[in-house]
Amino acid sequence: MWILLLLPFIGLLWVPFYNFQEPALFGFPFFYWYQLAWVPISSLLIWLVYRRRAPDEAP
Amino acid sequence: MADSVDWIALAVFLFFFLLVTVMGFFAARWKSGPVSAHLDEWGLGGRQFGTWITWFLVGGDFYTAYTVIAVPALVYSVGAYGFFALPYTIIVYPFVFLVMPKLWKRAKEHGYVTAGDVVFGQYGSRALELAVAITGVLAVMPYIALQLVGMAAVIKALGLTGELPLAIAFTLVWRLECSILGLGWAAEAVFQRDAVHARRVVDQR
Repeated sequence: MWILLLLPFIGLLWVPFYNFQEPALFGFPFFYWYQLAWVPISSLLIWLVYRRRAPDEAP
Repeated sequence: MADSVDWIALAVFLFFFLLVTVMGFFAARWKSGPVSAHLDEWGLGGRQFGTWITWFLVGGDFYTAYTVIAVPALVYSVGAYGFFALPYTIIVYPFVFLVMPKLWKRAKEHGYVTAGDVVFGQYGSRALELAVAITGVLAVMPYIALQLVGMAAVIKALGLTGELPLAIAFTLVWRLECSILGLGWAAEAVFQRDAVHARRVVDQR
């Protein structure tokens, strides 16, 4: 499960993935809304990993 | 506006400053442990902070003068370059989630207080401990300087000029971060700093 935590690193640390203006969302260029979208996505991923760990175990 | 004091803003600032100081005195007593002379008490709040306090402390660590003043200023001046701060902040969280609970557990079991303690306790090397401690001090110095400059910018915005803003900022940092009352007060100050930052954001709209 913890492998999910690598996704934000992959998605954010390689700028050519998101260095575009289109598609825009509510007028925001892709570059901006893509990065901001990772905030809730990362929270969700951490929550999923947190749910799956054994109750008394450090993750 | 730089040469005239903004009295309303200054009054708001003084009000919150006095509030922090008074609450700080209470926070210093609040949950103070039995061994107040011990380093645990000063550095770690007697290891008695629960989830909520820790949450606010972590928030206070992230959202500092750097986040609230320096990064927006950078984005205003150079645009998208300033966005490096966002991915960097996001990837910190998964890392912290994986690493810190283990570190916390081990530090609690063995009674470590500083990063140097952890390294020496786990690897038994005085040289490595020293290297980690010195790195920590060196890394913190520019960071504190950054906070001072940021805070001076805030105080300057109130209309105070000359060396006064930096002097006040220095006193505040010294008082809040280095006070012998330790983290109990710092935690309280972080709550207040968040409130003041929120207020500033509202003011600027």
